[in-house]
Amino acid sequence: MAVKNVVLEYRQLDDMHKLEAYKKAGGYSGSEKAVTSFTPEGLIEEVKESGLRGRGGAGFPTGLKWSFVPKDSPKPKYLCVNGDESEPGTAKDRELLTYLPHQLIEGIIIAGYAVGISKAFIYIRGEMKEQAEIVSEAVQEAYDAGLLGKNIYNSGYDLDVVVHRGAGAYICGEESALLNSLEGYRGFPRLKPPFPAVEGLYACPTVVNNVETLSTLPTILRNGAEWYSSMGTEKSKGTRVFTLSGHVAKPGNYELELGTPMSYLINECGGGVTGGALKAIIPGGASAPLLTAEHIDVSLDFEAIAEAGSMAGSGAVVVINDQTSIVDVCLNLDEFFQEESCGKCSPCREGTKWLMDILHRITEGHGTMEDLETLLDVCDNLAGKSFCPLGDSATSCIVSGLKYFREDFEALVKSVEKVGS
Amino acid sequence: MSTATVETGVTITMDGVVGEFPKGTLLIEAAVQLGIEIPVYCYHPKMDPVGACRVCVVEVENQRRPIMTACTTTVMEGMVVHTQSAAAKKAREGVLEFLLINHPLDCPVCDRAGECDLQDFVLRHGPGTSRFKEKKRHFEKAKQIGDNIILDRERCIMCQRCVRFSHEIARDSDALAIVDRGTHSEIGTGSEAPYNSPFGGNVVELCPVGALTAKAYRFKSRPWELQHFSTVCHGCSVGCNTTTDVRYDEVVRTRSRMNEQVDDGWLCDKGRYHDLNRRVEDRVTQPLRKTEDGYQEISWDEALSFYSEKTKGINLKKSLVVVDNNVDNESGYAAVRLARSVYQTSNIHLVQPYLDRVEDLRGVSKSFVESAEVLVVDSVSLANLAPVVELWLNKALKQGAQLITIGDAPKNLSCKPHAAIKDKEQAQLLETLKQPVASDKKTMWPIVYPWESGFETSNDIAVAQSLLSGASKVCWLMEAEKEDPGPELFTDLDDTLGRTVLALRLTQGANTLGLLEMGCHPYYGPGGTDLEKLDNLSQAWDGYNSEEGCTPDELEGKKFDCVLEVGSCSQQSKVGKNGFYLVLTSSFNPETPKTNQAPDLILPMAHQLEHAHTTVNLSGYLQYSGMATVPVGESLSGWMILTRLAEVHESLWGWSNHQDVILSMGKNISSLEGLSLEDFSDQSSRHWSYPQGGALGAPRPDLSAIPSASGNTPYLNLPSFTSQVGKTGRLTYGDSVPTVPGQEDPRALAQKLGFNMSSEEGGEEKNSDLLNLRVIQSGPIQPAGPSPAHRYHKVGVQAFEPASQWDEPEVEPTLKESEKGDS
Repeated sequence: MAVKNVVLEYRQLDDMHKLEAYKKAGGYSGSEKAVTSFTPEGLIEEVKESGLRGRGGAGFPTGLKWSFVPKDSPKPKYLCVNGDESEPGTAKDRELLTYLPHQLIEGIIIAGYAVGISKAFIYIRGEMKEQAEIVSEAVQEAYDAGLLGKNIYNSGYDLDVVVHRGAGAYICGEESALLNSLEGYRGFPRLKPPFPAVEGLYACPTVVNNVETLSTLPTILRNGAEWYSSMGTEKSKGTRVFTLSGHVAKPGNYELELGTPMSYLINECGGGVTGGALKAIIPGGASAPLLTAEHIDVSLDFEAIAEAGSMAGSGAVVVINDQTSIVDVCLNLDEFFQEESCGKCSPCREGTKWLMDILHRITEGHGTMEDLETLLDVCDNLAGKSFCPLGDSATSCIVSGLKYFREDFEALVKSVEKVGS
Repeated sequence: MSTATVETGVTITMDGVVGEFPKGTLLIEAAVQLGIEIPVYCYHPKMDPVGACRVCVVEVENQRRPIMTACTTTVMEGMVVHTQSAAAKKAREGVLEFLLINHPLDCPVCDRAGECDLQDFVLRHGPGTSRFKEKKRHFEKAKQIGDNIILDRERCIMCQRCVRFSHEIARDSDALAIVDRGTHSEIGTGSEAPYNSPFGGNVVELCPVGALTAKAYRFKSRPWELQHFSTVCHGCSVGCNTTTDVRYDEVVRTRSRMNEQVDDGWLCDKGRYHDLNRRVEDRVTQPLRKTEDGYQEISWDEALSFYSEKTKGINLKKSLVVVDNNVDNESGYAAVRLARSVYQTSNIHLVQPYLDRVEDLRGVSKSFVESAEVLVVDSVSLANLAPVVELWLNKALKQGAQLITIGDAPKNLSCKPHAAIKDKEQAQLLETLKQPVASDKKTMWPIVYPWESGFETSNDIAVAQSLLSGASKVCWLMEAEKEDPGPELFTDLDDTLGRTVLALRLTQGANTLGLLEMGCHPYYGPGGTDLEKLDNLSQAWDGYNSEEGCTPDELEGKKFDCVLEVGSCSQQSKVGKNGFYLVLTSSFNPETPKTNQAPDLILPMAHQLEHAHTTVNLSGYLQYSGMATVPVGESLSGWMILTRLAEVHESLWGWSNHQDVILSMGKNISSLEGLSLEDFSDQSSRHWSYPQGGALGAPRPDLSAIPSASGNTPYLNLPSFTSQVGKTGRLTYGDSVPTVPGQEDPRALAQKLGFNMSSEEGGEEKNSDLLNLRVIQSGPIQPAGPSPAHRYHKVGVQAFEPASQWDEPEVEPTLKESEKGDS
């Protein structure tokens, strides 16, 4: 068991954001192999065999997603790279964009060739101005070197890449809201179906893939699907970049084989919990329900975390020590969700604000036991009833917090009741 | 949609009721048909589903997320839906609670209270109590966002109906949008420019709560004080169906009354607000006689004596009768009878004559415009002549139609044309129509909102020609006055070209087609028949002048011994030196015509909202407009006055009420054969009896008789939908309204869905020679509502004793079961 740098392989080398250095290290050999020695169908098969699943949060098999794009559509097809990484606790795409922009471009060439796409958009979170500049430079370098544009690798395959900066909304990480935003509209999620694969950007077939997903493709091509699928668990193949943060000695991005125990990430990679004992873990970004210290040995893969009652999400692991009140954690996260709720649907627009108000009241010492029931009931009215999953996300911390750490809430309420009496 | 897909129905079960629906039917539409109420806010049948408010949640069995929105979910085979299960009810209550927590409790001062969908649905589906202890969200109240519209952001529930209307339907340039995010969201124009759309009134009507209110109606009335009358807009020739809301004789509001054949339930602001000007300063309230000291108010008896005196010494054969194009059918018909039979003159004209254009004024249906592949706007300003037609245009464009404009048309349009050519290039474009349809269909980027930026308007005639060459369905929009292209171009097109080209010729005035049908024409008689062939009429009318009158050119400079003008005052120049000039009008400024030719006698005519009447719209629909309020002063319907004038000449017509005139029209006009008031069924008149006394302080109307508790968006209060849809007798124009091959008639589809949008079924067709009119009589005949005719008593004209049928105690109109439940 060890850190396994697969996606982050070239991260260990210097100057990888420059084309020359990247190529020298072996970069762009994966895309060359894909374009010159695979048919598009064969390439999709290869990716399916590798077992690669989306690294954005939902974990949908990448090859399968590509195969949903209709082959005979007369419309143009588009690839949208989801670089709107805004899930609290997550910073993996930021690292990839900053240090390995060419690896992403290589991944775009591979995905584009497999699906038959000749126009790709890299949607980068508004706040990541620096990364957008780095990626733009890399795209220009690739154009200058003939790696993008017309007739790539003399194969007759054309691909154009456009870098687009978002305007700073968490919701635009949701793929259909991202498409709306890219088209110049308000970042509202769209009705599904139709799914983007059928009707996405400008109502044309569209693939939306996460930065890490695409950045994994060159390695898979270089080393083969079999090699990649030999890592990980039965259903969660390969490796993943985990962003470790919170009360740990050494927060950071660590790439681990899927199926590695959580304790390895926290203790070996992160140097253990600081400031107290382990109290709770958010295993997959702010949208994931809390886990407790008992779950320290949960296997870091999609299935095991789901079984433990949470979700692998964006791969961001947030460690919380026992000096922290879970009420504060909930309030912190819900403040984020209410701020980022797009306002399209009533439950999320009104519900997140209401939850935040109640939590505020509890932390300020004006809560009652009744409020805890109201919190749970409002969460129930919100989860599964909102337009997109943002509403569900806003409730996960509160529901799991009240499940595992109800005493934190009750203590606040009771101390108040005592003073009041 | 082909018929095949409709036939293969999908069977679902909703609340234990099994129903079969066409594929693609939304659950909300299925519920409507099954008579199950599901509350909605963001859903609107005329706009794309959005799924924002979430109040229509239902529980669907065997789903990963069982709580689904009925407005976005389509029926699937074997689907089992529960609207009243514990989970569905809890979810719905939850959504209503969310909508209420920040909604102000200012119902007592809210215009919408009493017809508010939030009030209504919370009452029926919402939580009984509130758990919200926090502070409500506050915005500054009453923000004026347009000249006519006030926004209360605290009341807004973000259903986006207004925003979607503005974007999808009206395509406003400074469209409404949601500004800011999440809980801070508010409606506004992103640019901070005022929202002054020509269709802006619709967003007020669409608003399910009191967030958007009209300046013209604010604090004017409470909904329960209003009486609602089915009327027809007189703003232009479209004749949109309207509901006129009256508070103790005062017209306070006009709303749309959706009629799928005539409008989409949208009104232009011009039409919506113009009826409110009924009581203009220049309103004539009493007969006026010209004296040396100006006009003198006289009684009706005096007026008729004066008329009798003045006409005695005149050769009435040398009379000119001119009818305004806005006048109703009945008055036009009476004018024709007075002219041809009593005066024995052949000079009966319209103010805007359209003499040589009559045959090509054949109506083009709304559905043809909406489904055309290429639309040519030929130098016409829709905004002036028929604003609502622009919405039909938008609908076609949204489906990918191509737009070509000629001359200065684009500057009056809200959308960018694909090609804009010069006036002089029109002939070249017309040449293209004479060629067979080209096999390669050229199209430019569809004007799907707002991808207008996807193309540049071409000024190249060749581009316009290529767009037109491949189109098999072309609609040419132009002014009726415009002589080129003439009717022959479109009618003489070779059938083998594979192309249908129809011209929508927009006329001035609200009722030109109807008046032509009545016989307001120097060459033709009622029904468009040759004057020679009117033996029956001659018998019925006791004599008839079958000569042809002057052409408009011959009329120029000609003087008449007697000029009778109905509806306007524009023919001064035609009055002879010692001629008698009589005008029937509802408004007249005695200061303006200070010439010798000022009218000798002015008789007060009722405004269109003050009497029941019929008109024919540009597509050829014969429409009934009810009496909404009492005539001002002593004014009377035009036909009543004309009947009185005839009596002076000892010609007794026996018309004592509206039904008598309608029956006479049905007897003597071939295209209207057998017409009677019953043909307009229950839309004919007021919904319940008028409070006795008719003044403030009169007893309140019986609330149990109000058809729908929420009057603002009738078709959204789904169970009462069918009864609210406007009805019309149908005059269709022969072959000029072809059905679209391979395309399901949307009305047929709607009917399958249970939306009763038509009164055509099972009708019989009858042909008219002139306009090739067919009247299709309505299906089931329902008792007409009580007539307001009794209110003419006070004018004191004895001959207008109401017929016995109206003397019956006024009967409450029959209400459908579904309507009763809501009130």
